[in-house]
Amino acid sequence: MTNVLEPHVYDKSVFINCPFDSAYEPLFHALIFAVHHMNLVPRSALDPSDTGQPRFDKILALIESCKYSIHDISRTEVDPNHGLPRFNVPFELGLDLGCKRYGKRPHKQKTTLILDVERYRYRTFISDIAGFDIEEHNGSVAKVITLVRNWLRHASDSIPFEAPSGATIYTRYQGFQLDLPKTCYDMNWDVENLPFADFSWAAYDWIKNNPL
Amino acid sequence: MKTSTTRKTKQSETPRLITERELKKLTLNVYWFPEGWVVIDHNDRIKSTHRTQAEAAESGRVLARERAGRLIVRGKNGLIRKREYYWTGPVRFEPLKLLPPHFPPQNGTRKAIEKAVKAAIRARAEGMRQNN
Repeated sequence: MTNVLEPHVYDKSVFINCPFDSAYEPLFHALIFAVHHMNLVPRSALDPSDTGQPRFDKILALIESCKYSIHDISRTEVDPNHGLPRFNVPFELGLDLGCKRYGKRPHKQKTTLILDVERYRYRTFISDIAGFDIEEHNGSVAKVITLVRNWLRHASDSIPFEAPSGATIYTRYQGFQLDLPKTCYDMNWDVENLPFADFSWAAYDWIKNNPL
Repeated sequence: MKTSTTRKTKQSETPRLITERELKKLTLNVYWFPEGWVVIDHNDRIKSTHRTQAEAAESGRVLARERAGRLIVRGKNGLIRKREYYWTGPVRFEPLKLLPPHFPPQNGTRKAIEKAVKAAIRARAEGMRQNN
C-alpha cells in the first residue's frame, strides 16, 4: 500500500474524485490528460492497484497518498433508477478535508480544487464548505483543462515556469483524441469503454512521444 | 580601489546544475497550519511558528538566504503566492522527466501501449503530410 512515507509519490500524485458515469467521461478523461501534462500522476478510486482491499480502505489510502486532490461535485441530481442522489463525491471530499485538518504534517500541506457546473450552486446543497474557492466549468472540457492547469501551476512547486497554457493543452488533447481510436484498434481495446489505467498509460505515452 | 562588494558574474562562468532532489532540499515553505503560520523545510520539520504570514515569510527569508536556496510563500488555500530565490551564482535546473502512472496497465503491457501510441502518432503525421 502506498503511504505518505514515500515523498516522491505523495508530492506528485493527484486524487481525482468525480462521478464515474458515462456522461461525465469526457471531463474525466480531460482531467487525467491535464494532470499528466502537468507532470503529475492522476489517481482515482478506479486505480487497479490493491484490488483485494475493501473500497473504503482503498479510498483512505488514496487520499493519504496524494498531496493534491480534485473534487467535482457537479452530480447532485436524483438517480432516475433509484430516485436518490449519489453521495460518494461529497463523502470523499469530506474525508479529504478531514485528512488535511487532522492528518500528519505532510497532510496539512494538501491542496484541494473543488469543481462544480455553477460557481455558487453548492450553497443550496453543501453550504458547510462556504468560503472555499469553488471553480465552475459549465461542463466544458476546455474550461476543465484550463482550471486544472492554472490550479496546479500555483499549487505545485515542482512545475516548471514554462508550463504550457490551458489552450495549448486543450489543443494537444484534441490531437490525442484523434490518435486514440487507432491506439485502441492496435491494442484490441474498446474505445467507448476504456479502463482508467489503460487511458492513463495511453495519455502518458502520447505526451511522452509527442513533445511540445 | 574596489568600489563594490558584490561579486560580478563572469561571462565564462558555467551555471550550477540543480537537480530536482537538490532543489527540494534547498526549498523552504511558508504554510498556514491550524497552529499558525509555519516555516517548514524539505523534511516537513517546522523551523518556526508565527502569528502572521509576513512574520513567517521574514523568518523563512533569513533561513533561505543562509542556505542559498528558495522560499515559497503559500496562502491559506495552499496556493503559491510568492517565490523568492537566493542563489549565490548563476544556476540552471535539471529538465523534468514525464512521470509514468504509479500503477500497471490493465489490458496490455507498457511496451505494447507505447508501440501502439507511436504508430498512431506516426500515421496521423503521415496523413497530414499527404493532405498538404
